[in-house]
Amino acid sequence: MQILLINNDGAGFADYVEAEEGTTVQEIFEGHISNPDPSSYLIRVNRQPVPRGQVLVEGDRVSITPTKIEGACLSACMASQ
Amino acid sequence: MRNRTTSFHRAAVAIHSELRRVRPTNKPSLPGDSWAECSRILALIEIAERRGFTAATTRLRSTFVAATLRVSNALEIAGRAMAPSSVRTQLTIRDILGDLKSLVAEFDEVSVNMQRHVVSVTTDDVILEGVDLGRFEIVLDWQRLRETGTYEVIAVDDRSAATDGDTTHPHVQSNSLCEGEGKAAIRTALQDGRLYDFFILVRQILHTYNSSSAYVQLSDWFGIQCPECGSTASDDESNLCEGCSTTTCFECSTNCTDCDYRYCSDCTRTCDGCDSDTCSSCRSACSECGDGFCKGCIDDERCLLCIENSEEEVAEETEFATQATTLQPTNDPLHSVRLGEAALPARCGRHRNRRLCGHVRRRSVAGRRRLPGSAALQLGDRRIRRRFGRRLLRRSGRRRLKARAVRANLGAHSPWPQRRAKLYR
Repeated sequence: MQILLINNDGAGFADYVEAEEGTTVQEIFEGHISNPDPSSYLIRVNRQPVPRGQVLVEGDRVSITPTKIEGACLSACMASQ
Repeated sequence: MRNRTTSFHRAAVAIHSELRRVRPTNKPSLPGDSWAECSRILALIEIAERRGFTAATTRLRSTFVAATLRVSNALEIAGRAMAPSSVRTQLTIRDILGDLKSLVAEFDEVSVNMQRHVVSVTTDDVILEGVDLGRFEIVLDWQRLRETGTYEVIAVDDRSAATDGDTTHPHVQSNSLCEGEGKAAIRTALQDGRLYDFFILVRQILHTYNSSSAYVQLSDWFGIQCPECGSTASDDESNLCEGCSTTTCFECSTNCTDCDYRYCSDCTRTCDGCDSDTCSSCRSACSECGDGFCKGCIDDERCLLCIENSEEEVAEETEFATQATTLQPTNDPLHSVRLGEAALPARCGRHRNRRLCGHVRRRSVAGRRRLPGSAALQLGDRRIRRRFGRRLLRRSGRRRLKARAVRANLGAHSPWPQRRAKLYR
């Protein structure tokens, strides 16, 4: 089956990925996040919070967003560019 | 509720057409600067390792890791910008409508303004490290999705930093959020038209505090702590030192009397002449005594005290020379000088007819001779030298001591009488 996976960590990533039937949210999460700690991420399926064991279905939209994203000040942004 | 659904639908149609109309034309920029920085850090690591600077090497290695991450992020963004986005191409009005509807569950207030073509949401109270910054409104202009500054973050409750009224959040200044780590993700979300993800990302940045890179540190949110007296001062009550850029409270800073800039107490000194405060650039040292003075108390590289002292010494020497000349024995046979007798002129000015009246005729000012001390001393005999020479020395010594006491700003508590007593003992 095909699901839309949105990973808002780092540079941001959104694409359709192939997944096996019966894949859970936790499996998708662990497969795509290098340092998986569910408490550090907001995980939404079809824009709704779900339990980690929920089984995904065809066409689901899974988004993973870090809870802590550090902002900066303008000078730091300019320096990083 | 029905009205909201209608406005959401209209907004979704407008946003969809906008995304279809405007193709991403921005050429991806390659991370040339970050790459150069990586090379520079590598060179520094090599130097640090060669010299055995362990701590510096460790710090540079972590800096290098951060720099390489920036390079890889920038390359990833550049690659994605050129690749055809399946998400963007498959984006439908229904997706955008779903995003707008889902925002209602995440935010306290969600509104759409068709006239201003904006979608705005209001966050809950943002509390960072115990500091309540209030709510924020995130306003997205969908007609400027491809431009920078397409959205604003406006503080609903004005709880801006005491030191800077434009800073409403450690990472928000003049309604502009500095996205930091979230910059790439936000840009990707906006390019793909994923409004839900965009608003969530901005909210999460607002709920995160990065103390190492903030417009105003939360510790200084309610004012800057003066490093000198320890009190907390707001922006209006604080002063940035012109010399060392330290911010102190207004009471701990002083005005330089010469240049009129304000400095902290470490960057100013008291003038040894008039007790006024001067900065280091306006302060000059006297070439004779070496003390520091303001511009008003120094003339031709000499302080006023040294000028005065030298003038007094010259005047005393002149006075002594005049007296020595006056008391010089004359060739008048009627006034032969003997031991114990003073030399007198032939006639007194006041008593012209009395030759032995005892008055000395005064010469006119123009007629006085200015002689140096040594020459004057040579003119008189031993008795004169003993009498006037000692007095001259006493006077100049006393003045020097007094001047030194004044310079030390000791006033009435000056130890100069005791010093004088010691000197004369």
